[in-house]
Amino acid sequence: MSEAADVAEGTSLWRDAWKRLRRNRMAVFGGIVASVLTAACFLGPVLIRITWGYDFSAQDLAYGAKPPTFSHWFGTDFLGRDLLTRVLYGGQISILVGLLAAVVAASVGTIYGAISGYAGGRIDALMMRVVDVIYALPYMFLVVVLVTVFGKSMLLLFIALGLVGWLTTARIVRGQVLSLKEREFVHAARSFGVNSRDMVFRHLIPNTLGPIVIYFTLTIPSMILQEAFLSFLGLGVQAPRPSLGALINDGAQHMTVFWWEIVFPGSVMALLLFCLNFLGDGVRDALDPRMKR
Amino acid sequence: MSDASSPLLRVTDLRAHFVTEDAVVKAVDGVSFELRRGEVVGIVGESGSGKSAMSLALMGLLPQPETQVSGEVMFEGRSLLGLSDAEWCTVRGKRIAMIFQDPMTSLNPYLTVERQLTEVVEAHENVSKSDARARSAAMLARVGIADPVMRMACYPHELSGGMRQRVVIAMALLCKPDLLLADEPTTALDVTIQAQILELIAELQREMGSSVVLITHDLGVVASMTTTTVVMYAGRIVESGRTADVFARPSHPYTRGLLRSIPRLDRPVDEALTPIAGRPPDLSALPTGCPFRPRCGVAVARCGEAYPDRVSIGADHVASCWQVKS
Repeated sequence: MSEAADVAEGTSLWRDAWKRLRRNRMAVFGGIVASVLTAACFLGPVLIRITWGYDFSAQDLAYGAKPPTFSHWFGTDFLGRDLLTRVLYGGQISILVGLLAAVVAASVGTIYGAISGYAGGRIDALMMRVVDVIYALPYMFLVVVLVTVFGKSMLLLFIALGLVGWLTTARIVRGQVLSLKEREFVHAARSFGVNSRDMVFRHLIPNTLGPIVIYFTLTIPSMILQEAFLSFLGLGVQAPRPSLGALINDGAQHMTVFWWEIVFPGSVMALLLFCLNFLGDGVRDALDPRMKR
Repeated sequence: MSDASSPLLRVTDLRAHFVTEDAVVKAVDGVSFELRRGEVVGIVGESGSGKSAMSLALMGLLPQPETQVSGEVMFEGRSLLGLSDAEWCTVRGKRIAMIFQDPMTSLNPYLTVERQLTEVVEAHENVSKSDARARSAAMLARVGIADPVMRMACYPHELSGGMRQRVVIAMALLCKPDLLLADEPTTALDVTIQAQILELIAELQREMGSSVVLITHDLGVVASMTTTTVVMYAGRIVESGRTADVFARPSHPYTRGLLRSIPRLDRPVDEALTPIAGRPPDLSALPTGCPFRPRCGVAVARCGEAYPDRVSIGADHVASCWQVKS
């Protein structure tokens, strides 16, 4: 019976997906490297402080910018700050920003989309038009205006990133809910007196988790990239705190002289984004039942 | 409890019309019937005769505003059709519960059996988690699931079809509803399981004294389980009466056709079964007069002119056909 197979697939989905993900070599590689990088970003600065005593903001103006040596693996910047420490610390900030922005975007988008789809009719139309309007705004322009008016801050960065991130999730979840709410189990749950709130949060959202997870894993790298872009424009994380984007910006200004200042943060960023994207693609393929190999 | 003489459910001229861009599908077109406490009504008819649409209309589950529902549904003297969503939540599951056709699709695949059962209790009664769990387990045991505590930790796909339908029945009966709507509760199940499930519903109905509306196209089930039979065709009731009367003296040509198309023990074995010729009518383009006329063997000119009046044949036994004499 096709329906039986359908249901069985729906529930053992996660175990199957995990099996498929493990067989995907690129995704496993991406996952391992991304985990190692993340661990290094969070533990590295601490270890370095213990062994060498460097800090991301500790300056040594007399030492100045030097290429990599045994005591400064990535070299130092113009102010004599250890670049390895700064890259690791910047990676930490970038990962945090990416993760947090992705979580905010996924939760806001999921709740918004689920409510919109479940309510249907005029409420749905209104809520989706709001999404369309925000979608249509040139977001970089919006950020520049926001930053000029309210000053630069981490909070504003989150608002700016969150403002665009949740829109696509909201659309995806709404579409899923629209089709789910015609399914019999939703009618059945209503016939047992389940109220709208429980219906949305307990019955509908868990059933849309697959697409949400996929989109979430792909949102993290894109958020990191967005943050880097904003930092590159000088609108993101502010000095002396580094983020990968801000470091690349610094490096780009003297890249003809101090090549190491752009090569190292750039490579770390590229490696991180590659790995996260491989992982995200892997998760997407793993959760797609048609990808059975 | 109100007195036994007043009906538990009174449906008057219920209509459910699906409005599409180019047509109006009259799925339910003027249905009236009454249901007393403890009574079991069987609603029979072919696919597309409006049985399921009617039960969804009774539960207020038809999509709004695409469907136009009119008429009156009085449940314990209270009109159901005008209820708000919040008011419906206190009625559905608690006073009126429904068993759906297919247990494969009527349980949420992402929630454990326990969660789905306790949810029903928690939605209607102020009970602690452990009480809700204990009651769910007891109800599962009551519907014949061995080792209910172990089964409650399962997800729906880990259970067989029969077991799932038992879970659905347990969910429906958890709050001891006054009225149970069973919409073809056994069509999706194995023949051997069908009998067990029907026996279970009958048993629980006797035990709890609930009224049951049993929607089916299986006349055997109607004969064995119900006190009253309602025959629907093209969204209307063509014949209704006490089950014994309807089976002994089927009066509407459609009812007679249905009965001729199934084998019966009290007829000679070599007698041929005669199916009803033709197909159910298109509900968006019903002919004037009697919608059964194109398939009816005894139609006369008058049948094409106006819809037949209800004719009383015996006590509580009525049929809508020009050929039937009271």
